[in-house]
Formats: sequence, C-alpha cells, structure tokens
Amino acid sequence: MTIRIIHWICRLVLAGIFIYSGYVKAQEPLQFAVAISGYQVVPEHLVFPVATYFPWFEIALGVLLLSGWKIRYSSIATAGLLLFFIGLITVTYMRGIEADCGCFGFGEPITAKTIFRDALFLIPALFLVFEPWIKVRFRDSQLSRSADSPA
Amino acid sequence: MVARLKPLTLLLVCSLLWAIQGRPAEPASGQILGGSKNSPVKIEVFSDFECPACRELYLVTIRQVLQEYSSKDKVCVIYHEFPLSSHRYSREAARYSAAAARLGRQKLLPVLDSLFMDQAHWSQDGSIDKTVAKALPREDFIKLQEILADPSINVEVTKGVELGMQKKVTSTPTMFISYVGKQQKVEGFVTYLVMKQFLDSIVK
Repeated sequence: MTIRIIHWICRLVLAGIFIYSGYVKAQEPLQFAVAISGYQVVPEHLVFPVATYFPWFEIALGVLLLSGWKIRYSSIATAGLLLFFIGLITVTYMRGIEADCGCFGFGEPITAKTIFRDALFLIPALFLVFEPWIKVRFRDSQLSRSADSPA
Repeated sequence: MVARLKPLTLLLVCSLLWAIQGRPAEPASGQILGGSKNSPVKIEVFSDFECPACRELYLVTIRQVLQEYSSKDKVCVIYHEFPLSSHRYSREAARYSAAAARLGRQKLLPVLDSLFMDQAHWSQDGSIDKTVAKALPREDFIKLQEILADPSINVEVTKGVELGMQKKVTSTPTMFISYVGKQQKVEGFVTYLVMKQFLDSIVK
C-alpha cells in the first residue's frame, strides 16, 4: 500500500513538472531558442528545430507518466532526461557561462540552487525506475519479519 | 419618440467615452526601420545604444531581416528607444536617433549603423556628435542639430521608455514579435539563422 502511494505521488509530480515545463517552452519557441543558444552546445542550425520540437517531447513524456502506459520505459526516459539536464547545467555552470536555465520559464540564471533542484527531481524518477526491485526487497523484509514473529 | 431616444443617445456616447478612456493608452513612439504596418509580422525592439547585445542584434540580425524580409514587406521592424539609466551616454544617443528619424528612414539607417558600429568609441568619451556627423551629409547634419534643440525629442525618448515600462521591459534588447494574433516576448540576442528559421516558420 505504501509503495503504491509513493508510486502515484512520484508519477503525478513528474508528470506535472514535465507537462508544465514543456507547455511554457512550447508557448515561446524563440525565447527557448535563445536559452538553448546560451548553453553553447547545440549547433546553430539545430537550435530552432530543437526549441520547436523538444517541448512536445517533454509534454508527451508527462502524459505517458500520467497515463501509466509503458511506465517502465517512460520512467527510464524521464530519469535519463533528468540526468542529461543535471549534467548539462552543471557543466555550463562550471564553465562559467551565464546562461538562462530555460527550465520553467525564462530569465532564471543557472546557479547551484538550479542544479540542486533538478537533482531533487531525480529522486522520484529513480524510485519509478527501481520500483520492481524496491517492491521485492520490501516484500522480502515483510516476509522475514512475519516469519520471525512468534506464532 | 425623440424624447425617448435622447437618453439612449446620451448613454451610448457616455459608454463610448468610458470605453475610450478605459483602454490603456499606448504612447505613439518608435521608428519603423523597414516593412509597413500591413506586414504580416511585426518586430518591435526595445534597444539601448550602449548595450553590447543590442549592437549584436542590430548589426548581425536586424540588418539582414530588413534586407531579406522587410524589403518584401513580410516583416515590419519598429525600434523603440529604451536607454538604460546605468549607461552614461545612451539617452543622448537615443536623442540623436529620434532626431535622425525625423529626417526620414533613409537618413535614420546610416545613423543607427554608425552609432552601433562605433559603440566602443563614443561610449567611452561621449563623442556621439562626431559619430553621427560621419554618417550624414553636412546639410542633413545641420538639420539634425536643429531638430535636437526641439524639446519634443526628449518627450519622444521618454515615450519609448514609458512604453517599454508599460510592456514590462526589464532588459535590453527585448523584442515583441506579433503575428496572426499571437505575440512572443524575446529577451536577449537572437542570431540571424535562428531568427530566419523562426520567421520562415510563420511567414509563408
């Protein structure tokens, strides 16, 4: 029961984050393109196509998490994407580039706080990825507890 | 019948007056650099002459937009003066730009080119006069100096700042791109390639 509740909280939180973040970017593709350019990693000719289509990928991921369809694959994709974001903003921060995070809206510079926030989002994603293993461990510990208890 | 109509007419006139007053008044400011009011896309730029990103945006992107899109009346580019108080000479440069606009678009563009190209120079010693003089024939420069003495030039620059504040502009350059009932606010420098891809996606 506890695991089921945590599972739902993780799914709803991540779905909300991805749908909101994708929606904000999809509304302003040119401003998102400016944010992407700021990272200085995407070739110039790809900046606008990425700014146009990436937000829809985030929204699709959010919808998949919400619906629960192929949850294992969508949670792996979510964790992978968050790891990519964390890596990207950490490297940009360490390079001393003053880029706009472009995470949830615009005009937010990358700071240690931004990296920490994204790292926090990784926790529910990792929970969903390792949920089958966590369930087995949880069941095992419950079984051994009931076996230890006097009849 | 006439007596019944009178209060109705009065009510109509009153409500019309109320509606006009209630609407936020948009101060008329800004200079059209290219295109026309009928262009399907309108780019409004709030710019500061001393800001390096504004320089890049104008020289790298806007000039090409004017050449490729505005000349075919696909994009209307409007520049608004938004001198930041932290920049020592940018208000004076904005005054020169507003005065050059009164000489016509053909005279304004060389002045803008010159002000942005020589930014590093005049922003150090305030030699805006020399920079603008290089861009115009002597007789036009004399006319421009006469226009500069007109107090309405200051009012025009102030109107640009007021409009920017009304539109919640907090940094320069800030663009407002309007097309088919939509408007996007874009802060910062946009390369020409990115701008071109965006414009091509909305202008057929």
